[in-house]
Amino acid sequence: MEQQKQEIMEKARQLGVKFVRLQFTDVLGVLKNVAIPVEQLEKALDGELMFDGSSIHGFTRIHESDMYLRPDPNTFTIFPWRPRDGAVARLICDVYNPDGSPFAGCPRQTLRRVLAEAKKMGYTMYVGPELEFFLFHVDNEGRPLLETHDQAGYFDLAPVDKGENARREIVMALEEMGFEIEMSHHEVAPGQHEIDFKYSDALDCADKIVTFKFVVRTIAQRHGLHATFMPKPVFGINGSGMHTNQSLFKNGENAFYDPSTPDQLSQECYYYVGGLLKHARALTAVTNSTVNSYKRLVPGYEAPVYLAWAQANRSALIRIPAKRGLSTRVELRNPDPSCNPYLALAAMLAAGLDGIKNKIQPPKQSEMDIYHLTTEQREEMGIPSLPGSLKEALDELKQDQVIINALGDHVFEKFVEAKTQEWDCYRMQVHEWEVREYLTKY
Amino acid sequence: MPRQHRVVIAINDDASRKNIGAMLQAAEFLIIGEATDGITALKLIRVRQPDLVIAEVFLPAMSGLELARIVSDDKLAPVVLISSNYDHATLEEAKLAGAFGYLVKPVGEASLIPTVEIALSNYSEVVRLEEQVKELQEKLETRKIVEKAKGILMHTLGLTEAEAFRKIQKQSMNKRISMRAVAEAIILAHSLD
Repeated sequence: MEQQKQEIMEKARQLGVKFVRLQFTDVLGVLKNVAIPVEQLEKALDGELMFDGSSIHGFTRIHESDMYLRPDPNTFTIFPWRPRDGAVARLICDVYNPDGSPFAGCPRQTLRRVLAEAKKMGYTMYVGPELEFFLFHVDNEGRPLLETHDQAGYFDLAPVDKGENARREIVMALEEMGFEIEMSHHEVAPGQHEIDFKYSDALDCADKIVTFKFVVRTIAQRHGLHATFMPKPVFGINGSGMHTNQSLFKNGENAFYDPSTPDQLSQECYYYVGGLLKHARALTAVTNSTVNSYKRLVPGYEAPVYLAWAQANRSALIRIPAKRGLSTRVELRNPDPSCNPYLALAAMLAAGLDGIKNKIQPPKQSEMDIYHLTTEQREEMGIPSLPGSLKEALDELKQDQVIINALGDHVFEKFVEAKTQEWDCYRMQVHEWEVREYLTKY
Repeated sequence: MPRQHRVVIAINDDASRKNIGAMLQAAEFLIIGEATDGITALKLIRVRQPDLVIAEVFLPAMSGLELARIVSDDKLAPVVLISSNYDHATLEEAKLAGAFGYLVKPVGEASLIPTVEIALSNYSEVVRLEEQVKELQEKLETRKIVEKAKGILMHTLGLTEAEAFRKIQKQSMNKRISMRAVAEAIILAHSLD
């Protein structure tokens, strides 16, 4: 630790770092920054920096507002966009109580706790996410539009899409920050992009997801564009998901792989899928945590709707890609990038582990296209749906003790409180659609 | 005839934008883009890669200062700012944003052309120096690493300094990789045991 600290201080000196941003997320997954001058870096690394937690959502009540930030030295990195007056570095932090105990409202600690439970069973979780997002134009007052094309026709020089340039720079910036980019391409919908990075252990991956969103937004802004991770920004075209590939490793081996079975999937893999499916409806509140998330989870846009699993079928909620050996993995397809990745990974892992602990057999695989079945056919086959709204998902969450335990009481309460408020606020609005539909009719 | 310098102008008010454009054209500059707001200017600069940017401090959507900061951070072009005032705070921000010149309205040819010419020449000097610094930093870093690797070889194989250096050099030539890479490999291998 002391050596790591010295290494970071040395690196900061060499790279001419002027400011360090200490980052952490609130319960809703919003990235928070405390910027300190480099002179305070040593103090920060010693975990002696305090901040006022009462100002941040889902943290504390006013009388317990002093919180300590303890940076994770493994997360030290320099932002590639380098101001003239010195580089800016960042460290992701865990939040601690003044008495030195982990703070219950810190999502990163929530994930750490569930990972430790997995470790006790001998498992390490690896995650590879596929993040989608839209790049939109902004108007000449700087407000984001839903436009993907530039109407002024200024940029006739770019052959296909202005997003390509911005995306290339996003990829370069991420690579400079130590991401291994596996793939980056334009998605189905106009203006929609996907960037996949190499899988890593769950904590590192969650850190990377929050970093990713931050980098994408920043670079887009520096190109005069607006990046959004909103799950369904435009009605009628595909929304943005965050398919989450996950696997468990035991003693350095992929625990989902078993060459001796016909499909080379281990019993643990089956149980893990069983656990995910059992808790899917409650899980969704965490992995798809906005009102808007449920407008993506509708039939017809490559998003999953029904609780089914399959090896090849892309309409299923869970897919097992064909790769075997070390790459054997389970792909959960409902999460979207508006979720808090720490909580989402914690909840998914807890669901899977519950499957393993209680030997939950998943239902039979559905290799047929479930989208095109009628409601009766689905009922006959016993295929339930994901929740249709945030409200429905929250109600499921409140009844699922496994997911509640994974979140911890503090996070669970704050989360449900904030999300119920969000739902109520939405519920009471009069939406454009209602006006269009009813104003002249009645 | 030397290559014409290519300029993007971002000024909100039509009259002064046209006026400045005309003065630059008369001085053999090529205007490759005009914008009335900061966002459009930023996109133009990214796509058309001008040699010089002239931007008003006050611009809608993204201020000239913010624009200058991004353009200078990403080393896209030198920016000359234009404003109707020169209060201390704005000047400080212009410095931080990395502006290469600052003109106060009304801008006449006699101040515009010299400012722009000096900005262009200073900018190319800065670019040259930055490259040099980077090169020297790399050399220094390589030397430090090779020194360390030499020390390891001298200590573990009982070589003289010259022999150790020769060994690294030879390996670098045989394997066709840089001396730095060889030195790094030696250090890494040494740290394992």
